Amino acid sequence: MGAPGSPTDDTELVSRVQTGGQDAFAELVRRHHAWVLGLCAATLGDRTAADDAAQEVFLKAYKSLPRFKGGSSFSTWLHRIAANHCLDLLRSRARRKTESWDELLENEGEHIIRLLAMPPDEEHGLEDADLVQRVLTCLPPDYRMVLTLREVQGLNYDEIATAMDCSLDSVKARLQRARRDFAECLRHFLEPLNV
Amino acid sequence: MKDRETDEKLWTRVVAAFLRIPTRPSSLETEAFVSKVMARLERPAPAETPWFATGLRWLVPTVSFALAVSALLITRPDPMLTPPEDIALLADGAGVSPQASSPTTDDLVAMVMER
Repeated sequence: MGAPGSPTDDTELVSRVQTGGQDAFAELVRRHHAWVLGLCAATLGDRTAADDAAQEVFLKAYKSLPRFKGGSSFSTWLHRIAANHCLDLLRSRARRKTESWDELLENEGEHIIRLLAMPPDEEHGLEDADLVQRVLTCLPPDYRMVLTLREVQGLNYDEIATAMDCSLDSVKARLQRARRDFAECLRHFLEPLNV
Repeated sequence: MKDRETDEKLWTRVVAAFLRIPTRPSSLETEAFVSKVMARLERPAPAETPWFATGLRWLVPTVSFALAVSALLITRPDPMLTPPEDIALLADGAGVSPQASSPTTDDLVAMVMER
């Protein structure tokens, strides 16, 4: 709850930024930092890269704010900027990808089984976190993004469609394919856990 | 139906292993982040390079090359106007007879008078 006279919603903060109030932007950054960083960290893995990416996202948002008309919520609009920025970074990483999915599964099979069997509340060690990133790097950038927005950020289909600038049907199809392909790649390791 | 449930269960495991929610930043981290972003906003934008300055990057070598080519063309003698060196040498020597000169008016008058 804001103090009397202080802005209580994003719309008011946005209009203050649009009329030259830079302080209001600091408040917007403060409010949305956690999830923007979370999205960048979930898609890019590396925390330092995620921090840099989150800064870029806010700088891009600041530059584009004069053109923001309020057709969607500020948060959804910011999701689109963040998703686009992270997708660009993922695509440029994918171009210099060296490890194939088959190589990874062959070399790290036992570690993957251990990771899948781990209780959800158990902390990942450094090696686990590294393996998670290597596994996720093998996914196409679009799939990784749609899975992150749905499973990590908890967005609904409409919000994902706005963030990824595509139709609702396209979101559903992509999400279904991403889940199916990812599970298919891990089927060999998942079957023993099913017994 | 059972297959669907199994798939759901397996997918939950995949999400728990690979798609975890990252730890939330502390309020201190958020404040440090806000300061960094605001500092970058206040930093003056790099001065825009005028179009002719960016053009000069390729214009300078291009103009230099064009000048060099022009200078070469001007200083180089036209091969159509000057005979090759070996022919000129032969012309000076005895190997080639000098070109017969055309008869002058005096020669013609002399020929008429003779007849």
